[in-house]
Amino acid sequence: MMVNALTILLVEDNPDHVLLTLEGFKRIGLNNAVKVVVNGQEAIDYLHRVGKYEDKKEFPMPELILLDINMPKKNGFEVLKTIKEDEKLKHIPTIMLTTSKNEEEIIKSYNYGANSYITKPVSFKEFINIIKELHLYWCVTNTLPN
Amino acid sequence: MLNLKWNIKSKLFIVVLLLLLTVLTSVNYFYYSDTSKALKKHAYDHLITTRTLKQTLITDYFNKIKKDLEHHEKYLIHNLERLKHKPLETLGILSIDMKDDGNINIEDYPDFLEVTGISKTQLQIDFINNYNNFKKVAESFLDDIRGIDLFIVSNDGKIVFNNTESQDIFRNINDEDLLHKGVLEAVQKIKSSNQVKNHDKIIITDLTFHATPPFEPVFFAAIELEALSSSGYVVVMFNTNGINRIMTDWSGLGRSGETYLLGADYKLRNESRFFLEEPDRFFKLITQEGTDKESIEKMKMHDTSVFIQKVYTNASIDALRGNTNTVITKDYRGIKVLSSYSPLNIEGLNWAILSEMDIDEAFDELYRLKNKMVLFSMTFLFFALIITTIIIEKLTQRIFALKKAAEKVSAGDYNYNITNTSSDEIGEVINAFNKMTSDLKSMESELRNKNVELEEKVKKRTHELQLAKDFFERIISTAASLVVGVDESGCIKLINRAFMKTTGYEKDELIGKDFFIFSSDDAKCQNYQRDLFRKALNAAGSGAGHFECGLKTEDAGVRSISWDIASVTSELGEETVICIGQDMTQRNKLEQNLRKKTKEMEQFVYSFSHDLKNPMISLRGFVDILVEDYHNKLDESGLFYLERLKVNSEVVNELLSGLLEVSRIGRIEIGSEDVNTNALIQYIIDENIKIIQDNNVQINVSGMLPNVSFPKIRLYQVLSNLLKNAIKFSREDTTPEIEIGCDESAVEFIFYVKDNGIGIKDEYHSQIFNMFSRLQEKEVEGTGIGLTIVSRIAEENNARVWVKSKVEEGTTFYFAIKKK
Repeated sequence: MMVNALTILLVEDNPDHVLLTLEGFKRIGLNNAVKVVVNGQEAIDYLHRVGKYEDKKEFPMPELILLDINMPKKNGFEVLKTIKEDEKLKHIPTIMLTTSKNEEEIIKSYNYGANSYITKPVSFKEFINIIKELHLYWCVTNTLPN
Repeated sequence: MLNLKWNIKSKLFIVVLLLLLTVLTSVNYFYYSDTSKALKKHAYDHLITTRTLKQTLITDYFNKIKKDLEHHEKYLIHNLERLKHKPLETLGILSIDMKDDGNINIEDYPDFLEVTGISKTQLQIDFINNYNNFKKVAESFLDDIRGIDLFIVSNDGKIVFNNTESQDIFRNINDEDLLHKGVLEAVQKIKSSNQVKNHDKIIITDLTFHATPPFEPVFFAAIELEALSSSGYVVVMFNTNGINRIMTDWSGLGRSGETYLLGADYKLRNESRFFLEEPDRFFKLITQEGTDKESIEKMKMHDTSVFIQKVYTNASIDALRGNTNTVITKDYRGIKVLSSYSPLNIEGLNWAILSEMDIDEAFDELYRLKNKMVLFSMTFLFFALIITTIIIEKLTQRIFALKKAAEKVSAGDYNYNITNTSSDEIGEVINAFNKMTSDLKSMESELRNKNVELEEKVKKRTHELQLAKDFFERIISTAASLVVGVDESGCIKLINRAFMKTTGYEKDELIGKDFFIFSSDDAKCQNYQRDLFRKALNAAGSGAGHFECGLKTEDAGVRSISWDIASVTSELGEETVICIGQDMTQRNKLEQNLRKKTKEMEQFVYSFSHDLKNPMISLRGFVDILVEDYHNKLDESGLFYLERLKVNSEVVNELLSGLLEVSRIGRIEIGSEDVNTNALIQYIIDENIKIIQDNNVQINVSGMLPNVSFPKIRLYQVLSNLLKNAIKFSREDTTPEIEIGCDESAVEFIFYVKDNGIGIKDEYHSQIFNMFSRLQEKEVEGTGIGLTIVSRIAEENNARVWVKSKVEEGTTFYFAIKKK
């Protein structure tokens, strides 16, 4: 598997899910590139480089954002809205993560400008497959603007 | 209308009268208009002729004077030439002296002595001879031309000879004391006329009064004297006898006609006929017409109307303007006359001549004709109407008899007969009438018998009806349902006991009231309910209508009633809407509570399963990592437990997913859209292609499926679940065959999914839609939540789902969607 230098920002409040996601990334060789924040407010701070996220080197601008919907402080929709309304950020592909297949949430996500939507599968294998496909599509196949 | 009150007699009479009047009027009109024109023309012509005649006579009279004067002047000149010395002067001198004492004092005229050189005596004799000779000549001259006086005026204006030897002798005509001013006028006129070319040799002055009693009106004629020895003017005075002789000849002018002359001052120049014939009436009339007292006194004093009476009428004004015409107008006495006038063309005189006749006399014949015609018409009309009256009387007598008979018959007297004496049309009518009366008589008795029969029948039928009605009413009143009968506008006509019991109102508080005032306190709401009622009533035409509405009770409560209504027409054609109601209040309340509880439940289930989902995902993740990374480090039984852990966590996850899905159906409302079900089915097949192929399932979509209006995701869920269900419950020994299709009823599209699977026992048919029911006899994956989802969707979207199944043969699921 080709190791890519692209940065992925994972916004997820559930530490177990963070652990599993990172494990998944690690298995396809992407562990170094994943940055984690634990709620919506922190995601916004990260992207705006506010507070502890001032350091450009340590916290580079991500090329892909994985965004959980149900989170404390600001939820995934609010973060999505902020990203897609910001001229500097809106080009970053943003993929929504959720626990259940909920039409309402799907429609809302796309309305706010989400680039994709993933229902968290229960099987870890399946999850790794999805991350692989995702990485292939968004980070390799898709030519992103610099 | 007025004529409705008139009887036939008056009408006939009026018609005949109108007819007669029309005929008479037109005959009279045509005859009179023709004749009157001729008669009028005759009157006009007659008067014009008279006036023209008089005009000619007067013109001739003046022309004769002129001619005579011109002719006889030569005689005068001839005799003047024969006089000795200066004839004109000698005449004058002698005249003066003769007047005083008859002696001529010759010494007073030395000029004559020096010039002639003859003796005084001789001169005196010559003078006297001259005078005497000329006087004779003058008298003979006046006789010939019918003048009354003669003046000879010398060139220097002295009157050198006067036949009547008046005081004017030897006076200058410009002298203020001149008696005969007419002489001055005549001389002045002739002098001025000399300056005009082709003038008459002789001029005539207008009338003037004579200077001495009896002051009769006179006029003067003058001619220039053209003797060799001397020159001057001959002026002759005329009285008006000549004029009056012509003008006062009234032959052809009847009793009231006259002809008169007018001067430029509008005054008469000849005597008025009426002044001469009936002076009293004349004075009375002219006084009324505005002639002043002074003029009347003057007329009486001088015994003449000439030169005093003024004639200022339309005719005189027009005549003096130089116009000739014949008109009807008022004359100077204020009497209506026919007047023919013309200016009089005599040089020196601006006169006009008028012939007039009282209109009554002028048109006498016309008036007489008119009177005759009126008299004749009246007489004719009188007799004609008498005859008409008699005829009408005869004619109507029988009609009135007929009328009286008709009145009697209509009052019921069929025995009345009219005696007929004539065989004309009215007689025939009378005969027909008599026959009709006798026919009526027989018909009436027959009718009476029939009536009695009919009454019996009606009585019997009424009794039967009453029994039926009582029966019906008893049913209604004892029915447990609410019954109310209203008319089309909603006015309450009948109610039953249950209605009164439910509402708490008494009968008299309800009957006759508008039903919908009991539906709500709000007028808008009442109207809404009324609309529902009307719609239901229209629908009731094709069966029973149905509507729901509130019902207020006497104790301020509201009941919710479900009404079935039907329109019933009574034998009298009266329409009543019968509403039969069930009190739904209790049931509605329960339903509402149930719905609320269900919602709460669903909300709880949703939150609960959602919360459980997160740890489930983690659990599965870690189990998978264990299986993948650590299976080498576990012994066989460890691996077995790990496997059980994995399977159980899978089951929990499936259950949670199912719960979430079911609870979401009631929580989220999705709008309907036009769904292409062909495409939808194809999508579902494609989506499940893997399990279809794995299980070797034959899927058959029968025909074209309709487009329906439904929430697309829900229909997807329904069909997807039914298909998955059909695949899931296939038999192991048979190739699974699934048919998907749609039937159509009047109100629904009925989709079905038919399989040849294991089938469902009858006793489970009602349970399969319950949550988590597991029916399968073989091991099958899945939670059984699919049918619950389908059932919930049906519930939420007013659709129906049901099943037909036989064990070991197969199952068909139906899902019916209401048509729009």
